[in-house]
Parts: sequence; C-alpha cells; structure tokens
Amino acid sequence: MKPVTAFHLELASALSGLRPIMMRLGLAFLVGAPFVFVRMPPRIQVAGLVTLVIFTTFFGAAVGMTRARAEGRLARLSLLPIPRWKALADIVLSNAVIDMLQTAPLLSLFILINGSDVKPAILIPLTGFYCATIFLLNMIGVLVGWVMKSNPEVHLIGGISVGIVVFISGLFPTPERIARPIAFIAPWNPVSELARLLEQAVEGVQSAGAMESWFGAMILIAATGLLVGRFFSGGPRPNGDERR
Amino acid sequence: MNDCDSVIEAENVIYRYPSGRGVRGVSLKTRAAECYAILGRNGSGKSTLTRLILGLEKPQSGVVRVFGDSRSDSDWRRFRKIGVVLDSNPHWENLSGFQNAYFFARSYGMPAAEAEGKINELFEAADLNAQARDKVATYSYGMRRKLAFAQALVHDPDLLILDEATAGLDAHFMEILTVLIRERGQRGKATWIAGNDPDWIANAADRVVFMDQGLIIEEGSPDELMTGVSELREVRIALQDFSPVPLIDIPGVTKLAQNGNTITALISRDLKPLPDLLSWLGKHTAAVSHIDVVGGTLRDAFLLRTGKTLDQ
Repeated sequence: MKPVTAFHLELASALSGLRPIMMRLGLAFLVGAPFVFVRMPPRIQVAGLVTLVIFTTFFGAAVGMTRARAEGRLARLSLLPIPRWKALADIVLSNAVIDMLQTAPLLSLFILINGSDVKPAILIPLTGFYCATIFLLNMIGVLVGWVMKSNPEVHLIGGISVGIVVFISGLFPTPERIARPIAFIAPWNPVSELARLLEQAVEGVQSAGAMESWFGAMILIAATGLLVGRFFSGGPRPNGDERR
Repeated sequence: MNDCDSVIEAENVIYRYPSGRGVRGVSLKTRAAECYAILGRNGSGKSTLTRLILGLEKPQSGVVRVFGDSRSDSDWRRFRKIGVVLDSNPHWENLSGFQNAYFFARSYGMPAAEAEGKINELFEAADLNAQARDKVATYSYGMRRKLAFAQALVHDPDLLILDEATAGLDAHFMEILTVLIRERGQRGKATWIAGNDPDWIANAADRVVFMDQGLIIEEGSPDELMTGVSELREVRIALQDFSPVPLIDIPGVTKLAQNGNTITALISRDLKPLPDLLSWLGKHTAAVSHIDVVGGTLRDAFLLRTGKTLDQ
C-alpha cells in the first residue's frame, strides 16, 4: 500500500504484518468469544461485549495518541502541509476502522448466534449506535491521550474513565439510589442505547431507538469533536518539555 | 538587499522554559540562497529557536517571520515550501522507508509518478535503495536519518531546516549533503542549520552564528569568524584520569577550558607555550594520556568567543 493520507498511513501501519493483525484482531476475538459462544444470561453477554468495545476503542485511541505524541509523530505531522483538522480526522477515522475490525465481527456473530427474529428495523439503529459509540469513545480517548503526559498516566486515567463509562452506561447492576440518575441519562448515552438494542436483538424486540438517543449521540459527538478540534488547533500541546 | 529577500526574520524573540533556559532576545535575518547556521552547545537555545521558527512553540515576546509571514497556527500551507529534519525523526516504524517517504511526497502535493521518481533518486543518493522496501524498524540510526533527509528534500523546498540533523550520518553522505546545500543555494533556495558540528558547518554554511545561553554571541561568514584563530592552534590534552584543574593565566595561552578529562587550550601557532602548559598541568593533575594539535577551526573560534568548548 502506498499511503497518500494520514488515514492510509495509520491504517497501513496498524495492520502491517501478521503479528500486529493477530495482536489486534485475534486478542480482541479471544477476549470477546466467551460472551458470544458460552450460554449465559443475555444481559451479561451484552455487558461483556460492550465493555470490550469501550475498552478497545477508548484505550486504543488514548494510548495511541500518547505514543504518537511522545514519539514525535504528531509534531512531525504538524510540519506537513496538512490542515490540523484533517490530520485529526484521519487519525480518528483510522482508529475507528481498526476498532470496528476488532469488535464488529464479534457483535455480528453474537447477533447471528443468539439473536431471534432480527430485522433491519433493529439492525439499522444498532449499527448507528455502534458507530456513534466507536466515534465518541475514540474522540474522548484521543482527548485523554492528548492531555496525559505518559503511558502510565494514560493507563491510570484510562482505567478510571472506562470504569466510569461502564458505570454510567448501566452495563452492570447499580445501587438502588443511583439507578434513577443513570436511567435518566441512559437515553442520551449511545453506549447505553447500543447495549439496550443488543439485548433487544436477542429478545426479538423490534426497536428503532429513542429519538432522544439519536440527539444525545449527535450532541455528544459534536461537542467532543469541537473540544478535540479546539485542543488540536492550538498546535502541539504546550507540555513544558524542556528541550535543547 | 531588500526585505523581499529575507526568508527567516526574528525580532527580539524571547522564549524561556521554567528552568530559565531557552532564547533570551534573539534578532536575526536570513536571506534567500543562503545557508545560515547556528552553532552552539547543547542547551544554548538553538533548537528552541528552530522550534519557534517552525511554529512548534510560540514566542513569549517578539516576532518570528518566515517568508514574510508571522507564525500562525492555521497557516499550514507554509509547509509546502519548507522541508524539516529534526533532532529526533519519528517514522512509522511498521511501514517501509519508501512508504514513509511516499506519504511525505504526496502530502507535499506531488503527483504519484513524480513522487516515486524523486524518492528513487534521493534513496539512490542516500544509499537506501536496497532497503527501500524494508520496514523502518529494521533500519540503523544513520539510515533513519538519511530517510528523514529524503523526506525533507523530496519536494525541493525553498527552505530546508535542519536541527541537529547530522548526528549518525556517514562522511560520504555528509559530503553529498554539503554539495546539495551549495547546489540549492545556487538555485536561490535557503537552508537553516542548528547544530554543533563546526567542521561540517564551516564547509556548508555561508553565515554562522555562535549562540550561547540563549543569546547570539557573534555572527559572520566562517572565514570572518575564523579570523583571529588562524594564528592559533588548538591543543587537546587527554588526561589519564579526571581531576579538576585550576584554570589560570599562562603566558601565550589565549583560552583554556576543561571538559571532563580533556583540557583544551588555544595557543600561538609556533606552539612555544606548550612546554609551560604541560609543566603546569604536571603540577596539578594526573598523567597526560595523549596530546592532539589541530589548526584554527570554527571550533576554536567558538572557544575564543565564548570561552567554552563545543564538546559537552
């Protein structure tokens, strides 16, 4: 492949050779496979798979961004005649494609094996919220990776952030007194909506997804996108690194 | 010369790190067709100045203009005319050298066929052709540097910016680079070098600036700067063990500096003060391992002007 854009470059770099492919795709498949193939309550299966989506997407973006900055690849990109927004969009898009390669086969298998009477009426919103989740978490990951200074920092904050997202998305049972606030924000949260639609696909319920969920996803993506864009338009992060 | 000829202009630029290091009020102007070099020790501020020129840092005070425009974050188009080799040259390690260079060429707006032709030409000059399709992860340090040069030169930029770019390069490629910089100059293209290799800079640069502690100490052509040291010789005395030596005035010794277990002195061309120097050393320190005497160079000029050696 002859890379012409940063999107090609990142994608080719991530998927060049058997080992990177095995590490990225094979490992995600191994971790997610029990939630697809082993019989357990659908809620647990969905919680496990969506947590895997959150984990791979968010961590991939955050760690990738921290590494790209620490190794100077971001600064190098900023010295090319490419608009910053385009470089950023290319990075997020390539991350998203890789995340989809990692998790979409698992979710497809899950629906294929466990779904009952699955119709386009649910597949379309399901795909939409899956994409929204991937893009949103990618941008939050990029933002966290941009702000953090080192890999240990990004792992610490990343772990906490993944925990928070899992918690507020209601993937696992929550204490009674905070169940109501979580239920209140759930329709505005694309991750909750993805989990809900996956469960409904298994149960055979046809749903298009609540209107506020579409608005919520769009507003969150737009707001995060603006925030990330604003950070990036300020040039390389003024990290106070002392150089020569 | 009018202002239209100026490529880089800095007016009283200040950028200080929390430790106090950085650039402390630098003004300079470089011209088209000129190879302009900043020579200084590590920490002298030359890389910070280069980063300010590239827009990677913003001046805390003062103005930097490149091709007449002050640095603006939204102005990404300026890099169409600039090629850059930095002290660290990150590559996409899982991709081949050719793929890395191809991305750069296309990013500079080159058509596919022209990009391939130019990359092959530059890889040939850099002796990278045999490894062009190998992953960069398998490249040596010097090969990575050469790849960075190929990436920076692929679009024949009007301004080439080199920051500590020559470390790890072999002598053959350094010669090619010198010829290339001169040939670029003849075509009106400018080069900025920030480095601490005085011998190469003396060959490649038209004008040189000595920088120390964030300030410009002296500016001139290599010949102008070496005036005054042509009558001097640099004596480098390696001691068997490190021991601090009191640096006193010795008749006939113009400058005296110690860097680890090496004593560097500038003495008159006839070497008459050498016996006095050695006898004084014998009184204060361990045995001498060996002595080198070299002619008046830019390195000596730097020592003469700043009182410091370029060796760290």
